[in-house]
Amino acid sequence: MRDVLEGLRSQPGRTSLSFLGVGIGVLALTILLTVLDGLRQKSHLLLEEFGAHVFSIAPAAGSDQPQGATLTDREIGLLSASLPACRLSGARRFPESLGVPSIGVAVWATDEMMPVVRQWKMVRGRFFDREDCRRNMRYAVISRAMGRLQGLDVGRTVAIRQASFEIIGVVDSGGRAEGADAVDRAGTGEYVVFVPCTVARQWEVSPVFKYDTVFVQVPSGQSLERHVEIARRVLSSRQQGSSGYAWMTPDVLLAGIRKWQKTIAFTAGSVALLCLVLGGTTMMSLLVANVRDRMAEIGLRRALGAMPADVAALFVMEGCLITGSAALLASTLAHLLLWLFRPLLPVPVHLTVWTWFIPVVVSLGMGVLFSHGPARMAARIQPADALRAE
Amino acid sequence: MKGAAHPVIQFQGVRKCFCVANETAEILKSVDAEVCAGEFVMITGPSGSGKSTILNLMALLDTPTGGRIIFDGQDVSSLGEERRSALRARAIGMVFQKFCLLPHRSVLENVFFRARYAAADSGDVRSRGREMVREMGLEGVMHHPVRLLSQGEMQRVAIARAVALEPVVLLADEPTGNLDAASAALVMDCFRRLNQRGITVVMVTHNTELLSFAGRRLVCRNGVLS
Repeated sequence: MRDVLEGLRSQPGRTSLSFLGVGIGVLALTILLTVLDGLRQKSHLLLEEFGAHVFSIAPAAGSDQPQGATLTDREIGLLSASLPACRLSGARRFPESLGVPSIGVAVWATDEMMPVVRQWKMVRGRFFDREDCRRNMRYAVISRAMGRLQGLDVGRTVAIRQASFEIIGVVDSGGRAEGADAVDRAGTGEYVVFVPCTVARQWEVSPVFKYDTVFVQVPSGQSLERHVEIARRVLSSRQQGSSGYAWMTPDVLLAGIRKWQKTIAFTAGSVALLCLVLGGTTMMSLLVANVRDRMAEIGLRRALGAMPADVAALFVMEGCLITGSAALLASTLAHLLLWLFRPLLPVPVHLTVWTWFIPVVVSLGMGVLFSHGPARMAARIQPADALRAE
Repeated sequence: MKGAAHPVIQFQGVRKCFCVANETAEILKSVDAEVCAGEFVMITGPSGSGKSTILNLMALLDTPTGGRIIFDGQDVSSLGEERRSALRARAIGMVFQKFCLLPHRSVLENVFFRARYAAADSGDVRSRGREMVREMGLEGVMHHPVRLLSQGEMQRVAIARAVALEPVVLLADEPTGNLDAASAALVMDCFRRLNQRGITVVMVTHNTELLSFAGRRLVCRNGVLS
């Protein structure tokens, strides 16, 4: 190691240039990996919240017109009859502040099938059941985040529209997706209170209760697309085509993210690759110059009994030390900066041990690859020629 | 030309050719020579006569185009690189005209570097190294970086390094070429003392004033040794 360090110290300018070149490449690679991982995490969160094998139907924007598409008990009944193997659950959102005006809290009126269809887990207590709905019980189930936000738990009450609702359960409804996704019609949001829709009907002036969204869970092993098609046909026969509805499937949900992933992978990936190759070739050319400048040292080592492989190993280790140390520093710096500025970034980032480790490994591999040429060159130098050159 | 004691290095019809610009230049033409144990042999001759080539062949840094080289009873002419490296590591000490020291390391560290590629006991190397540094009169500067020494001192460090592992033969290529007269005298005195202790020395020089230090002289002229 001392030999390697001395070799690098003897050419500080070249070493620094190589270090910088590789460091920039590793920085770009680290950012790429953290963003791609962040997008992957986001897609998982969205799917987790949405539910596996689930699609949702919602009236499209502008459908609140008299002739627009609606989702009422009638439509749900038709869908239920046409999709006998599926489970359905309708929901209607009522925006409420619940004493926290700055946070987007949502009260969702739904039925007992919601947690089943969405595959949510109960953290504590239970969800309201069919009997509760039938008896119009003023029960509420809150999300885990809502419980933490307001210090609510099972057994306590929450006031909604001047009525007191007893909290009977806390549910893990996902809803950790950030930004507008959390409150659009496909997601219920992070801070949620669920109440039986039979109770919420009393808040409605109209005799017909209109749902904001219907969630349909398709049995696993069956084609989601086929069931979506059936539902489209059922609803199009009722309304002016199925275009009056917005259809959300996992593919649609993830389409935006997948597009981002591809775009970022291509552009940032190209930049990262270019930077790495540039850094590597800079290092390689500087190592070649090093070999020429250190002919006398090579001759001395050979005269002292070094094998060609020993000489080659010296230069490979120098290359790996440059790339490895540049990667350690750049990867750590990238993680620190991303961690500090994460709230300000327009894309999600996910920082893990792997996003730190992989660029280091790639960089070490690069060190071996780009130092191979100069190392072979050094190994092939005949000792007599090297000593003559000094 | 043969000595009295057992031969350490023998050249038997050694030829060396180099390819230069698609032409073959014969540097050595059938050289026959012998260096016996304990001898101090000086090889002199004009520039370009092949002196350094002979030394490189003796040091196993190069291979002959033809003929045989016997080193310490072993034919090394067609030896593999691994065996040759092993011999260079333990059995051959070399001193160069431009010292070839590691400038940022101390005197002692340079001497210990001798064992870098030799499978030698580090304790033995260190004790012998210190002994040689004292022998060369460098005890006062043994921890100084060599780049701060005078040229004469640097060459003595190189000599101490070369003999740190008790080599079979000590080869020197123009060791006083870069030194003033006083330093050259000191360096030559070191060689003489080492030879008196039994170390075989082969020196290449174009300085005929140093001939008095040698026990035998070989003249290299036009690729022939006499």
